[in-house]
Amino acid sequence: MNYIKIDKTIKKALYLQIKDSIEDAIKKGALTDNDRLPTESELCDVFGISDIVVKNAYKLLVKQGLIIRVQGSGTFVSTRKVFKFPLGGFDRLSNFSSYTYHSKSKRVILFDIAKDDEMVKTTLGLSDQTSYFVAKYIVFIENAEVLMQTLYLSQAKFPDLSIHDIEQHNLVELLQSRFPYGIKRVKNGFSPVNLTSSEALLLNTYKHAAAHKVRTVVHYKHDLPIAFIETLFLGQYTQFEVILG
Amino acid sequence: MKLDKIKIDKRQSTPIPLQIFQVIKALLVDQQINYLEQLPSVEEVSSYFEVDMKDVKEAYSRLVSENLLHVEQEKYYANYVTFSSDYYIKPSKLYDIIIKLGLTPSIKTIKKRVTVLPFHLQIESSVKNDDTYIHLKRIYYGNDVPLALMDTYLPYKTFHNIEHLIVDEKPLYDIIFNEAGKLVSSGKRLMTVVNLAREDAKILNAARDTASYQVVSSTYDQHHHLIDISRSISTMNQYFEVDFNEDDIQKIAKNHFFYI
Repeated sequence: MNYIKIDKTIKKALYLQIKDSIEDAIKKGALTDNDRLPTESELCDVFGISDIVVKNAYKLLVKQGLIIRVQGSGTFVSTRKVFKFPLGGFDRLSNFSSYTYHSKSKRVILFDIAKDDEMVKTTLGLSDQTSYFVAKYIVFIENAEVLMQTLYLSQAKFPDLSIHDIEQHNLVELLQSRFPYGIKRVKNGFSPVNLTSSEALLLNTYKHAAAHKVRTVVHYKHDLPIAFIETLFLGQYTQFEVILG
Repeated sequence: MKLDKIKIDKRQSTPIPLQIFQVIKALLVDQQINYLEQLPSVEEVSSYFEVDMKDVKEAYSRLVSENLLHVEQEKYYANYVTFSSDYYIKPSKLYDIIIKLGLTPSIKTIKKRVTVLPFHLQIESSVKNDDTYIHLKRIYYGNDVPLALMDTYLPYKTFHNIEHLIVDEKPLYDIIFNEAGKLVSSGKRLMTVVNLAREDAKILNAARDTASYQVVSSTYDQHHHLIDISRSISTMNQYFEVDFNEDDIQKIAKNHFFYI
């Protein structure tokens, strides 16, 4: 914590001196993403200040989005890249093209055949007793976990689908190249959720972290549902942007 | 909500708690249970279907943790709203949305002061200056249930002469249009999901850390002058749909990052 400097002989409030020191260290790169900051008692101990001073300094930094405080684990620098997704007018989907990245990868963690979830069956228009594939995977961008998806596909419509298909193709390719369906329309619904502890582990974040749950239904010709995907976007690192007017 | 809407099949291999969870979730998503409608109690479900109370409780807790139900004094209420995507992609008033949901809207102003724009809003709205703003902190209610907390910053130099007209019960943009002739014509919205901070949770009567939508928006009038910068936060499970079409997807998926 040698990046923090306090001068008690000057007028400047102590909490601002702490806040500015940390902000500076982040700007200069001395502190980087996920670095742990000293606890309140560690700071009080070294500088002989009250915990209120530290609390106020950290509160300001949280507000600026530079650090996060996680109950039971500590205070961390938070400068992971935020992904901005355009949302809204369909013409603006082209905004996706302004988003660039160097590396993207996918890790499939589950591939299964199931038949019990009412919601999946209703969404895919499946009758009773028909089965569907379930694939769960994590998508990494620049080696950081960005989203987790659960994909549901009717077994009858995707004969001989294997885990390798899921690993090698994204859904668009799967529907357009590997299988002869194409895409007519994509419908998305959004809601806020708290991650369960297992989801948090998979996405390398803290329990109860807020996430966007996006339910996507892909329709093919005649406007029939062909795929259902639930995506968890990490709230802290994902913003949806809407241009009004 | 009627109990006979729920179907449980004890012969199925799916565990009872998961069945209850799935069937209620499907009912909510299908809008067969209205927003804020009370669900049958744990005891009622348990005695009607002759299943363990523990199983019903487990299903209900999971629905609460997914933010689909809201619990208050052991009573469970539907917390699932479907909005028209218009709300997100066009300038619209929260006040009108509440009416559209069939609820009676009301507004309470809990803070009013003149101040500078907070740092995090400067970042998120890309409006950076040292100007002074009229800051209003208001709670929006639907049927007296707090639905959203709204911090609005209006440029002081533009609006100081109508400041006294801003009172509870009146939607802000109406006053701005009627008194200053300014019409919301363009703007930008940034939607993020955040864990509810302790002080906001208290106001919204929700558990701390509940996943909530935070919307930071900036709006401009017909002459491209700033009307307001605001930040709203809401624990409502505001489900809304946005469509993409085929041509766009093909263009994007070929060369760029697309999430499906």
